[in-house]
Amino acid sequence: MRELETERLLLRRFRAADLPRFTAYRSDPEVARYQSWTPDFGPAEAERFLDEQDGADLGPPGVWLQLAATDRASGALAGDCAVSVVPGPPRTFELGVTMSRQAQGRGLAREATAAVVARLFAEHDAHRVTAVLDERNEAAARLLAGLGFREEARLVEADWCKGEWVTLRTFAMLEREAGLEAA
Amino acid sequence: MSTTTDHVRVFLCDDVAEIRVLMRFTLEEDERLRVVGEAADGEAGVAGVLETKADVILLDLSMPGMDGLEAIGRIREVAPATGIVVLSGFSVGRLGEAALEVGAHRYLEKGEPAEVIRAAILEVARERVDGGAEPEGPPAG
Repeated sequence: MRELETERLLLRRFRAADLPRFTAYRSDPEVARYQSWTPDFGPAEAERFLDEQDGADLGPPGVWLQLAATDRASGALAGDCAVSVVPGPPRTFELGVTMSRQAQGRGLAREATAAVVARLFAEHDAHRVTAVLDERNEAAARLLAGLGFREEARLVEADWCKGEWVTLRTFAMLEREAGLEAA
Repeated sequence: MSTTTDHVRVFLCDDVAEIRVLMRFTLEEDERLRVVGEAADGEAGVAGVLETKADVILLDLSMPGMDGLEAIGRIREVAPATGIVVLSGFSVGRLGEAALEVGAHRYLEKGEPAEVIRAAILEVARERVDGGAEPEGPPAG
């Protein structure tokens, strides 16, 4: 998976020029709030991230491929989509999405996620695509439900994150359910 | 350098308030430099440069909203006489070329000694007065 186009976004591999914006939203406590990462993210971490993503592709289980979601008109980085192959069962993928505060509230996360999901089923022979959320992240839950994901489980205080127990909600879509997107 | 004063008028643009305070103090230790304004993001930085008619902007790259790379392009469009010195946490090897390509005049890494930062600002101001000369050779820092 290298590049995807949506109506307003180009999803592509990260470049050095994306790092200032990437670092700015990764270090925004509001953006980091329900994510597994903490906002203590600076230029050194961003440069290391770019090195790790250099040449990365979907394949090794558990390794996240992150695509820069850029505004097609301006070229500016709006956020990113992350995808990984789930270790264990074949043809199973997990995804995540992050948008900068400035890019939130415009349906861009939904647009990016829909494109990645469609690509996983169409070209990567996905059987099942999942997403795991902090249950307080209601916007992400609405996004997934709107795309036709089923809520499968609520795992009470199943994760220890940023000094507290976090309850998780898992969502999934099977290949045979793809295309049943809610209106 | 401004035609109305002997000072180089510097505008600070960095989203970290402590760095702006430190830079103001550091730069004004040199009597030839005067900080005329500051901003915490690129958009406010561009507006501030226009408003203050700063000779040089000392510009961070990673900021919320409009980042430094975009701000460089805007400043070159709307205030072409203003010199642009990038002061960034990113290594020069990673972003120096990108910053100079879009129009910055110098690229410095955060952590450079104060005298290097002051010297770069003075140099860029001098170059702009001497006819808007572009920097030659590889980026400093």
